[in-house]
Amino acid sequence: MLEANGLRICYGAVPAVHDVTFKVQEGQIVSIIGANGAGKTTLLKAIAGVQRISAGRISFLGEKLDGLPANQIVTKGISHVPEGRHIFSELSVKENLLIGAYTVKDASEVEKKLRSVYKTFPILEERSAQRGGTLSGGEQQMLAIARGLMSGPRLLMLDEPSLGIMPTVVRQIFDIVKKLRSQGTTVLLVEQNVKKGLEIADKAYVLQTGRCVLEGTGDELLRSDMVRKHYLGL
Amino acid sequence: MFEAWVTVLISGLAMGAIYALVAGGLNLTWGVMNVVNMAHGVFLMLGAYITFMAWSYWGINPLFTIFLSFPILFALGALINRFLVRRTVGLASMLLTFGIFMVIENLAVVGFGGMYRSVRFFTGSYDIMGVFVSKPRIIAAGIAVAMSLLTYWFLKKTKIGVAIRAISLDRMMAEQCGVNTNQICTITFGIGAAQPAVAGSLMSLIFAFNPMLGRVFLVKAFAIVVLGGMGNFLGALIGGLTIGLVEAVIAFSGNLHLSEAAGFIIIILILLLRPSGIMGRRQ
Amino acid sequence: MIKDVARSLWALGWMGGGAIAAFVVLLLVAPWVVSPYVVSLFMAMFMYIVVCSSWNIISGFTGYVSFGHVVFWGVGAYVTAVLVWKFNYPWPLAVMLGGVGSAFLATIVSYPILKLTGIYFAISMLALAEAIKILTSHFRSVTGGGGGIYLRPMASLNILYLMMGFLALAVVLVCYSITHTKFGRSLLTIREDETAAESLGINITRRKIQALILSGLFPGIAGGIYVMNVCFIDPATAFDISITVNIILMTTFGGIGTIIGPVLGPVAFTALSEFLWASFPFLHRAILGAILIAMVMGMPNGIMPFMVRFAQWVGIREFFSRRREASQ
Ligand SMILES: Nc1ncnc2c1ncn2[C@@H]1O[C@H](COP(=O)(O)OP(=O)(O)O)[C@@H](O)[C@H]1O
Ligand SMILES: [Mg+2]
Repeated sequence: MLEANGLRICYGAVPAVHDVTFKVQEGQIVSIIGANGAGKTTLLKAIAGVQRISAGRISFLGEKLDGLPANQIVTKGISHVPEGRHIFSELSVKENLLIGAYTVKDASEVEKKLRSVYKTFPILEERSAQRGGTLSGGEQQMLAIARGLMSGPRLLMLDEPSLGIMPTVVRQIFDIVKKLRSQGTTVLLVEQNVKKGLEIADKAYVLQTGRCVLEGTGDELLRSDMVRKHYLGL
Repeated sequence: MFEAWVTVLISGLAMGAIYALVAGGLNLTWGVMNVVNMAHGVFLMLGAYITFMAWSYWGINPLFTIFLSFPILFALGALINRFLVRRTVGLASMLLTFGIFMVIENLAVVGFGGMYRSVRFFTGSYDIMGVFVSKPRIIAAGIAVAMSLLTYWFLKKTKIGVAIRAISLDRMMAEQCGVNTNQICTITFGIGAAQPAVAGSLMSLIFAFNPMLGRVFLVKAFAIVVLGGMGNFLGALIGGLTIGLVEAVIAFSGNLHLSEAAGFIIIILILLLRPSGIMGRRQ
Repeated sequence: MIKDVARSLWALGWMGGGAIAAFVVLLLVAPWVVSPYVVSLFMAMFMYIVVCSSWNIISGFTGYVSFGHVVFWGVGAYVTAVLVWKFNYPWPLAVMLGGVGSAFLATIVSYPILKLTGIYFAISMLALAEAIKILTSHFRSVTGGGGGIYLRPMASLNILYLMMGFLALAVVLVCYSITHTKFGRSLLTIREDETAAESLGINITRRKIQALILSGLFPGIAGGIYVMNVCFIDPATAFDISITVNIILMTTFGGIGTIIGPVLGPVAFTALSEFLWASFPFLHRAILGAILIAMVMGMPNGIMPFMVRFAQWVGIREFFSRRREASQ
C-alpha cells in the first residue's frame, strides 16, 4: 500500500536518512524501531509531506506522494500522529477532533466519525469541552490518535505513542492499535520501546543512523541476535 | 460635572470600540501568521475613502458602505498576502508591510489629494438626561462592537474560524490535519485588512480625514494588541476599550498631548511588566 | 581592549590607511570644488552613514532590531537646539551634549527594554520614539512645542559638513575596531545564541547595554550637527518613523551586520533618492516603498552577496573576502 524507495532526507546539507527502502502492506501493523536519533521521526515527516526528500520516491496505492503539500496527503488517506502529540492546546478537545476531520466535507459523516472516536476513547467524550492543553499526557496521546482517525485514514502513522506515558495507558493504547488493525486500518508505528513495537508488529524494520539494517516479521526480529543484543540488552 | 464625566466615558468607550476593530485585524494577522502588519493604517484610510466616495458620488447611505469597504479591502488584503506577505514573518514582515504602507499612502495622496474630507451625514447629539452623546460616535461604536463580536463568533464557531485558531497555535500540525494553511492565511489576512477598513468607514462619520489618517494608528493599534495579549481575540476588544477610555479621561483632564502618548506609554509598560498582555495566557 | 583596537587599526595596513587618507583629502577639498548643494548632499550622506553604522551595532552585530532608532537622532537634535536656543550654549559644546543626551536616553531605557527580544523589542523602540515625539510637543516651555524651534544660523555649512564627515569616519572606524575586540565578538555571540553566550561566561546584559549606549551616542551628535545646519527642528521631523525605516532600508541594502554595508547603503540611497526626488517629485515615496518591498522579497541579505559574486567574477575576490572576514 505504501512504498518508499531509496529515500534520502537531509536537514540542510546533513543527511538524516540515507537510502531507506520499505513497504507497508494493507491491513498490517508495520513497526520501525531504532535508537534515539536514528531517523524514524524524519521518515514519518517525509511521508506526511512536512519534510522534503532529496532522493528516492514515496508512493501510496500506486500514486506518487512526494512533492505533495502536507494537507493533500491527508486527503489521500494518510494521517500522521506526530511525536510530541502536538495537541492544539487552546482549542477544546472537540475542536481538536473537528480539525482532524477538516478534510471531511459531509457534516453527518463528521458526526459519525466523532461518535465512533468517542466510543473508542470514552474519556475524550467526558472531556470534550475542556481545553486540549489541560489533559494529562496519556489523554493527550489518545486525543492525538483520535484526531488522526477523524479524517478516516487508510494508513495511520504513529510516532512514539508510548513516550512519557504511564504503562497502564500504554497497554490501553496498544490494544486500541490492534483493534484498529482488525477494523481495517493499516498502521505504521515508530517506537523506541523496541519490545512493545515488535510484539505488536506484523512486519518490522530496524533503523540505525539513518540506514535500514534489518527487516523481518516482528517475531523474527524479536528472536534475532542483533535485536536481542543491541536493543533488548539480553 | 457628573454628566460631563459620563459624556466623556461614553465618548471614550465609543472611540475605543473603533480602536478595537482596527486592533482586531492587526491581532489576527500577528497572532495567526506572525505577520506584524505596519500597513493596517492605510487599510483604514482606504476604508474611509471608500465611504466618502460612495457617499459623495453615488449618494449611498454611509452605513451601507461598509458592505463595500469590507469586501474590497478583503480582496486587496488577500491579494497582498498571496503575492507579497505569504512567506515573510516577524521583522521582515514589518519592513515589507511598511513598504506597502509607503506605496499605498503615496498613491492615495496622488489619487485623492491631500485635502481633508469628511462625511457629514449624522450630526448632532442625543440628549439623555443631560448626558450628551454624539450621534455619529454612538452609531459608529455600535457597528464596531457588532463587527468585533461577529468576528469573534466567526473564529469560535465556524470551520474556517477553528482552522484559523488552530494555525495560530501550531501551523505545521494544522497543515497535517488537512488544512490548506496558505489558503486560510490568505483569508486571515483578508479579514485583517477588512476589519480596519470598516473601522475607517466608521471613522469617516466622526471626523475629517486625509490620506495620512492611518498614521495615528500605526503604533496605537500595537498598543492595543499588546495590552490585550497578542493572539487573544477578545483581548483586543478589551484593550481597545481601555485605551479609548484612558485617552478620553486624560484629554478631559485638559491634556491632549498626554492623552495621545498614553497608548505608547502603555505599550512600553505592558511589555516590560507583563509581556503576555493583561488577558494573555501564553507569550 | 585598547591594545586590540590599536592592533586592529594597525592591521588596516597601507591600503586601509591610504583609503582613510584619500577620504580625508577628498573631504577637505570638496567644498572648494563642488557647489554648496552638493556639499549638503554629502552631508546628508555622512549623516546616514553615522546613524546606519550606529544602528548596525545594536541591530546588525547584536541582533536587536530597533524600529525606533530615530529617537536618538531626534533627542540629540533637540538637546542641541534647546541648549543653544534657551541657554545660549556655544554650539559646538551643544552638539557634543546632544550626543550625551541621546546616550543618556539609551542608558536609562536600556536595562528594561533589552529584556525584550525580537518583535517585542522592535515595537517597544517604535513606541519609545512615538512617546518621546508626543512628550516633546507637550513640554512646550522647554521644547517650543509642536511648532518647533528656530535657530539663528551660527555655523557655516562647510564647518558642519566637515564635522559630519569626520564623525562618519570615526564611527566607521569604531565599528571596524569593535569587531576586533572581545566586546565585538561577544556581541556577535549574543546575536547567534544568547543562552550559549551566557554559558560561555559573557555578561550578556552588560554587553547589550553597552552596545545600545554606543549605538545611541553617535546619532545624537549627528542630530546636533544636523540641527545647526538647518536651524529648525520640530517633533514631526525629529522623530519621523520614515528616518528609522530609511536606516533599516539602507543598512539592509548595503549588508546588515557588516562594516561596509552601512556605508554602501547610504551612498547608494542618497544618490537614488536625489534622483527620485528630481524625476518623480510626487511618487518618490511610493517608489522607495516598492524598493523596500522588492528588497525584502528578493534580497534579504542586501547587496553584498551580489557585489561579492560580481567581484569574484571580475577577479578581485581578495579585497572583498578580506573585508568580509573582518566583518564577520
Ligand atoms: N529539525 C532538525 N534540524 C536538524 N537536524 C535534525 C532535525 N530533526 C532531526 N535532526 C537530526 O536528524 C537525525 C534523526 O532525527 P530523528 O528523525 O528525530 O530521529 P528519531 O526520531 O529516530 O529519534 C538526528 O541526528 C537529529 O539530530
Ligand atoms: Mg523521533
